[in-house]
Amino acid sequence: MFLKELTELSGVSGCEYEVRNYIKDKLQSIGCEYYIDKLGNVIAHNKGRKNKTIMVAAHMDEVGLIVTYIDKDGFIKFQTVGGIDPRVLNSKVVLVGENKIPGVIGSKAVHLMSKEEKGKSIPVDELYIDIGTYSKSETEKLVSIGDYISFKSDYVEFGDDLIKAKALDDRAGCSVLLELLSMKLDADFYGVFTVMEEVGCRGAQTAAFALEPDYAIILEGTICADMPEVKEHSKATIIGKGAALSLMDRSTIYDIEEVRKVEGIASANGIPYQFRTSSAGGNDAGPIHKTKEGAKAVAVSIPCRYIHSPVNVASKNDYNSALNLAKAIILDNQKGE
Amino acid sequence: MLKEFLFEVCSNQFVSGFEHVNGDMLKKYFEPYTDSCSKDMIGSYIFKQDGINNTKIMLAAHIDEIGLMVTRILDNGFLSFTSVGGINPSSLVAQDVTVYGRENVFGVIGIKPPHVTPEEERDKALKLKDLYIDTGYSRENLEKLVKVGDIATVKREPVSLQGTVISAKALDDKACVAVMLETAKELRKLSHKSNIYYAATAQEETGCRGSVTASYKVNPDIGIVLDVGFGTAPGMPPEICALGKGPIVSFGGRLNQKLTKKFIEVCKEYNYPMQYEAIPGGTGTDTESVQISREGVPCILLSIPLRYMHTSVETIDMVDIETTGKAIARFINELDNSDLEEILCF
Repeated sequence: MFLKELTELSGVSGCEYEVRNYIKDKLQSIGCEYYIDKLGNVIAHNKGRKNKTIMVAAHMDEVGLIVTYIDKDGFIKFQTVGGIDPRVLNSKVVLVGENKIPGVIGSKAVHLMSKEEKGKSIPVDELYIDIGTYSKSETEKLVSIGDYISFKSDYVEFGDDLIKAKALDDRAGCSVLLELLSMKLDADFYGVFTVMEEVGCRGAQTAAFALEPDYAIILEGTICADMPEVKEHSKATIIGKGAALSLMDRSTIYDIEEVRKVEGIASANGIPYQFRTSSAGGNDAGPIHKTKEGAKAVAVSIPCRYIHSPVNVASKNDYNSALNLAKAIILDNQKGE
Repeated sequence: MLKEFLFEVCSNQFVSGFEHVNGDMLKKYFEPYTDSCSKDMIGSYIFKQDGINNTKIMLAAHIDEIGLMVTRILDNGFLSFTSVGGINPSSLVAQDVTVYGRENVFGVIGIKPPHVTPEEERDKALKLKDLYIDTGYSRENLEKLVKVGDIATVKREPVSLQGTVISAKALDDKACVAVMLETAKELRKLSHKSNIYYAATAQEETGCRGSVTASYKVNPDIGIVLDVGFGTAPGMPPEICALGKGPIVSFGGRLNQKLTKKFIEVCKEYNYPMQYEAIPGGTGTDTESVQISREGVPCILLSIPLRYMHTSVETIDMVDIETTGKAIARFINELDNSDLEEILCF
């Protein structure tokens, strides 16, 4: 499992180089062939027995922020990159730009807030980052418009086999994919670490165009709302109940026969699984299953509470279920007659 | 040394009513500069530098901080909680927390993902009752570690920003406990005739209670109350003071005019920068209780400018702590050489 290292890297959409460099190093050390395409996807090839072309995708990018303006007193204005509920931004430590300048997103003292202000969430355009400078010129020496900003959040193992980190969506998928590539299975597949998923699945589209897969497995960190007072049918997934299989989301209707086959594989191997019982959100399956003449796609996900915030929570058991299931699916698809 | 002190105390908990748990941490820093230490029954720590006359000057800065208290243990390792002191619930979303149970238990306060959050709900601020601490344990395992009534705080490593600016939780009012430390250090170098008391007071955030008993115990002739004040940031009114420009000297209905003017005079004479603030009535600080202790105590109020008060990213400039600590030492030294009665008489 490479989750500690992977989640502590910054990789906001369009600026995935830290993650890419880490993955390149790992692929070199395990002796896996790979190349980088024009958008920055890492495309690795595990050679082995082959019935069909399989693409296994996990995205390297994470949601974050980008610098839009520096005011006269040196405060930094920003916009979100990818879908972030502005309510998770209040009172956070962030790292700005390639040099990771520490900053804080503050908010008005509760003592000074009007009753009306207390009742409303603060929109992004009223938030700013404070790096401790006193003037525009002082900030400009350290930060430029367009610099990416990521959350500072440590990797912590806690509770009963849970993990807390930022960017588990989708470093969890990246870690599973690196493990699959390390196994040297006698089953052919392309492992694709994609860029820019959070801003519209850009990388997956060009990688799929190049590879022309017959079959794709998307490895994701996915929504999970199994919190108190959320109705059973709204939870989407439940932590600890196994790998989550998608049926339908905003980007894809997953081929039902393939999903049923995956269910069968999970059952036959005793791997815990659950269905992702929400059609909200989307993933790299969207562009991949529509590329050229189309491909069959399945999504195997790890449930993540508080997704798209600095404090994602996932279960190590679910991670292992996703890993084992992805491995079993690949072997099943490339097995001898 | 001041920064090391702040990073250590701000990494630990001093939630109102539970200050004593880590109170001895103060001794390590204050004992090299003071002659004795006493505690009162509420949880305040009072360090003393012995003088050679009978005058007693008390500095007061509260050691307690706002926090959370567990109210219910729920299924799947979730905890409901209430606040100790005034907290904006919005500042608790998506934070790491430490629950101080039988052992320190890590948790996070999360938020529902957008797909189960109706549009109109997203514009509304969250309330405490909407939030839970997720400890990741089963209820059974959690009940072995945590009980109703245990406290929790946001888990935040203090962070150095540019220059001398730092950000941490609970700089309200540890920043001013650091001011007292600086004053104690300075007064060891300067001579002082008065007896100086440094009161790290308990339970300010829940109603200025520690300073009631501390000032009764000390029975000071003069009170110098130290707290944090609002510092400028975008969207703040124009009268708010800036970080890095020295202590905020308060004028107002509840403060001693002549003593305040004397402090300003000393700052001007020795070139210590300062800023002014007018507070017509209640100050919301330990001055409330120190001033009316026993038969009354003439008080001045000095504040360290701080941004984002009562969040986990309270931000100050260390320069203000040093300036204020040194200015107070000089002020005390000057008082010792003045006719105190004349200053204090009406």
